[in-house]
Amino acid sequence: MQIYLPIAEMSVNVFVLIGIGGLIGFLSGMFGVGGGFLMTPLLIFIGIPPAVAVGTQSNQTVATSVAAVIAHWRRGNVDVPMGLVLLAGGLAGSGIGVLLFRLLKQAGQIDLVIAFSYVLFLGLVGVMMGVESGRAILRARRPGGAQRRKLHKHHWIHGLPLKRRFRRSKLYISVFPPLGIGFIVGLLAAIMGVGGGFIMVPAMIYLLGMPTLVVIGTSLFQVIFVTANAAFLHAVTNQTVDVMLAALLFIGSVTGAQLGTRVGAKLPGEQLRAMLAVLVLAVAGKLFYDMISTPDSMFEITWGDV
Amino acid sequence: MAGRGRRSRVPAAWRRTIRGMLVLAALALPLAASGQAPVVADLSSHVVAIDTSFVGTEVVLFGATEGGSDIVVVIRGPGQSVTVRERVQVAGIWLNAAGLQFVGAPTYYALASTRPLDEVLPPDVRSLYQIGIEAVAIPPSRDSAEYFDSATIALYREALIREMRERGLYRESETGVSVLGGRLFRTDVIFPSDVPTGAYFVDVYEVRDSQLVGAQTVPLTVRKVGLEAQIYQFAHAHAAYYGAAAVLVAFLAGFLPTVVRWLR
Repeated sequence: MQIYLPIAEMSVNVFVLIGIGGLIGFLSGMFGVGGGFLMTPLLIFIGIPPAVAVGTQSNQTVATSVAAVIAHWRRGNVDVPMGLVLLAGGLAGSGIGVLLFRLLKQAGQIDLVIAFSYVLFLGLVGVMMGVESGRAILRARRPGGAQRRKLHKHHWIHGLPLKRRFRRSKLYISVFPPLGIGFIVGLLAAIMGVGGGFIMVPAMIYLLGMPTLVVIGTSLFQVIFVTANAAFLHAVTNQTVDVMLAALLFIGSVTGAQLGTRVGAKLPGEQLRAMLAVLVLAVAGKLFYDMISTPDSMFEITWGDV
Repeated sequence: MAGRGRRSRVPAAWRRTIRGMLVLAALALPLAASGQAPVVADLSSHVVAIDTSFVGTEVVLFGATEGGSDIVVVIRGPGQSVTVRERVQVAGIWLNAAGLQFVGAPTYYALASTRPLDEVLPPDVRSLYQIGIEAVAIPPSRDSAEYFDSATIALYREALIREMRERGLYRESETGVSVLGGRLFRTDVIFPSDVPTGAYFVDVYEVRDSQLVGAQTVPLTVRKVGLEAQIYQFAHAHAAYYGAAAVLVAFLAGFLPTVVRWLR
């Protein structure tokens, strides 16, 4: 069954869209990340214009994050003060990100910047996660079993001024590191059309030293607002939010997430993270290959005034 | 992509109409002298409506002549500016070089004739009436004309035409017009699913002995209808409200799984 998307201005198979939503929802439910970093490349792959894929994906992420955060809220895994500090940085970041997006779109380089950001960040996160989970798996196998780690290490980040207590996160730190992390993630969210969970989560765990469960809940909480802001700004400045596309993706992802959560609960954490690392690196590899392989056409055509 | 078909259609439409009238006026004299009935043609539908289930469509053009002549049909979509960029490899990575902008390039162009165009019309007539995509005037913008030399402009123009042919938005069919009983003719005009919206013109030319002896212009509109039109209109005319509504709906949709669980 084909459906014509009013903003993307093309006809797409409904089941392909619901299927993509379902697949990403399944993976995000299983791994506890938003999955936007996988969805945008998939949408571009099926021929959705990159700008529309990014704008729409921001909008769709609002819905999936709300759905996910409700469950975490009930279990008390959302650190609201921490979320608000991250959000303050995030809003500034996404505002500048959308402006940057517009400039790059005018220069005709937006597709490359999106692809390049993906390769860089997916590559980094994939390698980090792969190394970390690989070590954890080896540690678990070693006789004597897993050693208990310190709650968190102290480094220069903890010496910054304007300290504040974050009770849920069991932290007493300066507001600058979360502000900075929020800003960078907001910037990337706007340019790449992702919630930024895949960057935010490792940064909060490894840089801030927050407990993992609170990290996921808090990250999702602030992602709602950052992506809502990004989607709104994309709609206003670029008119690239396709609500029809967002709705179809959401139907799939909500269903997939329920299944994914159940499957994920049965698998051990390190193996889950190792699998996610492989997936992330595979996507990065594919995007990198596309950047260096000879394109089908030596010219790019953009209609409309730029 | 966004904004395609948003430009005011009136000036382009007027220009086309005036041109069509000029063509007719130019042809009126020899026609009257020969005492022949002019070519008559019409479309099976004057509107291509893009709704939610739109997957592309066909419109039948049919007509009649006195017989013994060739028919050339040209369908032209609204003109729009377009930027063509060459992909260049820098340090192993492919990126876009400086863009060349053309103004008033047809967003859709189709040609169908009873025989190959070379056999029907000489090049000078084709370029005069802009019959065949190679003959269509696609001028570069003033800035681009200063920046690029004419050889590059020609190269980029070819690239644009090639790309649009591959996308199925520029199409030629040298035997697309079929003639029945020597006098009735018909052709199927194909519009792919990503056909641009706006005012179209269908020019029907009658050719005898390499001379245009008759012409008729039939208007055609491609537009979004129903929900498609409303969403597109909303998104472009009231971008801020659209953005706010889209975010609000997404926010509320996030509560759906919880609501479903409660109901069960």
